[in-house]
Amino acid sequence: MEALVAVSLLSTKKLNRRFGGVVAVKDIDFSLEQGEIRGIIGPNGAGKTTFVNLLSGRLASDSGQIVFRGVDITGQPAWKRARLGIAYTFQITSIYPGLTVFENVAIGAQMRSHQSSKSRPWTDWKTNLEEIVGSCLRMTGLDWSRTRLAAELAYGHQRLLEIAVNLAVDPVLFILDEPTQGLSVDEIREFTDLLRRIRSDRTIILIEHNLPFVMNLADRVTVMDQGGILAENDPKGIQVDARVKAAYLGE
Amino acid sequence: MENSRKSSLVLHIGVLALLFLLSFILSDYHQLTITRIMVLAIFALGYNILFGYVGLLSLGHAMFFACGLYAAGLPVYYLGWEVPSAFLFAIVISAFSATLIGAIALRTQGVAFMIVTLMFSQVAYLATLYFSDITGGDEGLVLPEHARSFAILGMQVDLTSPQTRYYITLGLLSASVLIVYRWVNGGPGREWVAVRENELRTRMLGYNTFLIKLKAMVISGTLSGGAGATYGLLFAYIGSTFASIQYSIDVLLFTLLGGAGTVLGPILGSFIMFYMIDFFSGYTTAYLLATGVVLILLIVYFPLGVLGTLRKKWRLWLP
Amino acid sequence: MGLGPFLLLASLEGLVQAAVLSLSALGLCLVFGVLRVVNVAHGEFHMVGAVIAWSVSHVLFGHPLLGFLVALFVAPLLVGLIAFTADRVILRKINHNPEATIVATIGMLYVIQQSVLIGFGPDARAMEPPFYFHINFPWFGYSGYKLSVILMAAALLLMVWHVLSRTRLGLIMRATQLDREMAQVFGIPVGWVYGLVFAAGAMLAALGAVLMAPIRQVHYLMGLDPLLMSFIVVIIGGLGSIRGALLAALVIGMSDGIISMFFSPTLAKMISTLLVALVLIFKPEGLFGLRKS
Ligand SMILES: Nc1ncnc2c1ncn2[C@@H]1O[C@H](COP(=O)(O)OP(=O)(O)OP(=O)(O)O)[C@@H](O)[C@H]1O
Ligand SMILES: [Mg+2]
Repeated sequence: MEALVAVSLLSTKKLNRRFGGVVAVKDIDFSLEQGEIRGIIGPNGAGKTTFVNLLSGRLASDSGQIVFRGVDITGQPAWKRARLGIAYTFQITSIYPGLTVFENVAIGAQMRSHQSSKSRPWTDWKTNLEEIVGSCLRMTGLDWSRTRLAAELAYGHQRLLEIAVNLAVDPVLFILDEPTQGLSVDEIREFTDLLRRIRSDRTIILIEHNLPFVMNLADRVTVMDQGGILAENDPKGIQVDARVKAAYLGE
Repeated sequence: MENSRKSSLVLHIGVLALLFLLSFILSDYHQLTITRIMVLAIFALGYNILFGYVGLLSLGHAMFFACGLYAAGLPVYYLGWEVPSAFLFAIVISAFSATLIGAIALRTQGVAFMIVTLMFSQVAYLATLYFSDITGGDEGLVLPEHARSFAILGMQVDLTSPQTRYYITLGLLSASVLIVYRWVNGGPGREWVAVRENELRTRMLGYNTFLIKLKAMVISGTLSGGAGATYGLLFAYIGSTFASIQYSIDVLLFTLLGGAGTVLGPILGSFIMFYMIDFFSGYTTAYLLATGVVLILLIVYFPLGVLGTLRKKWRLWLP
Repeated sequence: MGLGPFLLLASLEGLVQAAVLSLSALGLCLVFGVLRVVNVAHGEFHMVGAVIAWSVSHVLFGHPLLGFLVALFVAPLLVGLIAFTADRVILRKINHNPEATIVATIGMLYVIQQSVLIGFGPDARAMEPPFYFHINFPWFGYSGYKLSVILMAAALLLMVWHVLSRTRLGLIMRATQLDREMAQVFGIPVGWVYGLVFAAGAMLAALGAVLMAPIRQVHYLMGLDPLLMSFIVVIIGGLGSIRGALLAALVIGMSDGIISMFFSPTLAKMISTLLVALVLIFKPEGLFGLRKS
């Protein structure tokens, strides 16, 4: 059944957001299919972060509509959207620096156990939580650091930790805002593997300036410029698109 | 981790047991003093949930203490209520007003939250003065004779006995400590600390942070109100000084001194500060000087307080 | 007395109140504007100013005017010195963190207040006005000194305005207010500016106190009222907006004088405090919409 039509997981219609005089997001119509990895690229200040902030609910849109899994979420607060399955990692790493790595992930895990175990007894809930934390730490390769303070981790590991915290919530749609920013070449390679493992049953939006990385991973790429969508195609198509070359790649 | 968890539970129960054993060797006078301190410790315990765990610095908790005090004392004084029902009534009213005030004040944060709670509390204080026909204002009211004893479960409880008051208070303190201990080590504590450490991240993970803060405020206000009710009923006196800014500052000081964000910190802080003030007021009427100096020294050199510093230095596992 | 003359009297009283209030509120506003911190000890600087004024006029023999004029210089100077030291010794250590600063200044409040209690005693004392001079309206006589308070306050406000908008010092302050890091890059000694602004705020409170001392009793607990009133003014005026604060001081000083003739002062304080708290919650940009200025 599912294979019959590609289902649109998330779509926006005429989405707008301005900051004073600056129109950061302008009339964006956007549609995302279940299970794809979508790259979003574009020059600095194009509005990428603002756009995904509108999706995650961190910012409110001025006008337009957002539909996620058939539900109009335009007016919903960020925490409700997160419960529907939208996770977001910030462009500037946002974790709990004063807590241990275990506690960091446990906060995410508790969100999931809350949702899934309303009927289950308390003890079950606790072991459940430890299991989730364990599997997320193993998946991101942070298992060794359980009892460390998050603030003591190296920068690259902090970025991984933010991913682990979000994984613990078990999101449907994972929005990553420039995850490879500031990572070394080796770290980026590991990160690529990680994303391949994560993707199994998830949809991912990947904002990136690292073009080889995004072209390698993404199924489709959306190019933003000056608040609007300039082009949208598969990676190969984008690389040969004249407009994109002119506006962005254009050297 | 499991081991340190166990030993920390033993520590908490040990402190309560120690307080119990003290009752056998202390004179009436000292029992009375420690009874007072323990009531204030419950107040600080409640304050600490909001300040220490959720990271919201209220400058108006005296209003919750006073709310419990008056909600318990006024029905006893005017309507002849029995002590237990007055106490329960005070708990309900405190929870209700904490909900109301929280729902409004929690729209602000940081400095604005501090100022707003300060102002609400000042309004409550002025109200106790303005309606002094009812509240007795500054002079206060002495609760009538019938409220000096009550019957419960077929037992007659005599509130004029220092031992009885000591045990009642210790019982309430123990219950509060164990409940708070359980919470901060479980789900609620994790949510509180998550809000304190990074509210935006927490919201973006799917938590309704406003509701988390509101619930914490209600718990905090109810414990504070319970402390106020205990104070009024045990010592048979209600007066507006308990609503003054002074009490809001004191409870902040206790918590800060003992260690915000530790269960035992506020209790320790209450003991140290009470005896320190007691010591200074033997020498000068300007004993509040000590309050000021300690406050400054704490915030500048010692912001983690006694237990917070110990925890950090030795990586102790203290909830 | 008919309603007309009664209102005239009330407005005069209100104007005196507004004059002194605007000085001390301006001080609080300045500190908040530049340092982004709330100084809870502000009222105590007012109180110390009044105590110094009383002491100076007490030890100086001769005409009370002499004592008053000396106090007008000595009080702000000493208070400024105290505030500057407090900033450098305490607030700088906590990096002017907004929440920690509130706690620290509460501590300062106690230290100052209780020290004065030890040194000055618990009694309220009256200070002799610098001159006795009555202006006779057809319906009532009015103290010439009180009228001169209005004029002196206005003159002082003009001076402050001149310093803020027309001098290099004012420029440096505004630069620091706009962007602390940037100011540092341009070689402005931000730490010193903070200390000086904190001192200036306290000095304004002290100046208001010297003007007020001959009218009100001098007492070690007298700081609470100006503190709360200044809070109210600064919040209503829009946090950190100087023009908003001055306007608010005028409105509130005037209406406070008039209201307290009709209502019990406790009720008036209760209602106004509640309203201001609600303004802070629901309209944090203040009531006068001058935020941008
Ligand atoms: N909070 C804000 N207030 C004012 N302007 C903002 C704000 N956030 C973004 N903008 C403006 O909106 C425009 C889009 O910014 P945005 O951060 O969305 O771009 P971006 O594509 O994510 O850029 P980058 O690649 O540098 O991260 C920019 O002009 C920016 O200055
Ligand atoms: Mg961005």
